[in-house]
Amino acid sequence: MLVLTRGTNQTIMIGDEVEITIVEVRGDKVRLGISAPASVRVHRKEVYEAIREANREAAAAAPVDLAALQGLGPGFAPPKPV
Amino acid sequence: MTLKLDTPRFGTLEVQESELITFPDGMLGFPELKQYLLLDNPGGGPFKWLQSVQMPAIAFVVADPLVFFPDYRVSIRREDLGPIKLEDAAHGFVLAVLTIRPNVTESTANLSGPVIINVKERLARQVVLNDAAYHTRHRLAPEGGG
Repeated sequence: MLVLTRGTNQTIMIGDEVEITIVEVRGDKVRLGISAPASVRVHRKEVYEAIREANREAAAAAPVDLAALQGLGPGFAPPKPV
Repeated sequence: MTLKLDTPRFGTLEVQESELITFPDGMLGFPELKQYLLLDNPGGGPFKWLQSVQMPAIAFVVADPLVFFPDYRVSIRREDLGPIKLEDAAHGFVLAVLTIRPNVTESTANLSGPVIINVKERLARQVVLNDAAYHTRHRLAPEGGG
């Protein structure tokens, strides 16, 4: 991993289009300003990981027996694309 | 073009290619699965299914989150609108992914990673909300209720 030292208001560039600026350093917290093209997703890693994990869990838990959801809604109708 | 899809849950589905919904980036954790069908839950209720076309065993139970969480507000960033050609966030159709637990009343909704669908273009994206009020396991039924 590349490790760089930067001070407040200093910026690093990743490629030609992604800029990360140190906005504020206070104690053990660093505020970053990120400027990136619309095609680049930027988010906190732990949130991303949590959603990925939730998706895996949701896919594994989706009941194959549709009756399992029956308690949550009335009637039966053949599935049709919406 | 008509596609025939053998699914473990819905049997054989015959669908038009025009009915498919494309996730250009897939669902998080499932980047290779880009095409889904949105099906009404056969048993009714506020539920729908996102059925993977490429991997028929994969399907997500989804629902309009406002049915369960009337105060839920999604703030979509501009960079999430481009990939699904959505010009106005208000025209997006929001779904929450549900995890159905063995005891259904313990089922949960993921409110930090909603799915936004551009119905007109049939493009969709799972977005990551930077809102600390929401997480991935909001219970659908109140504790002790249901």
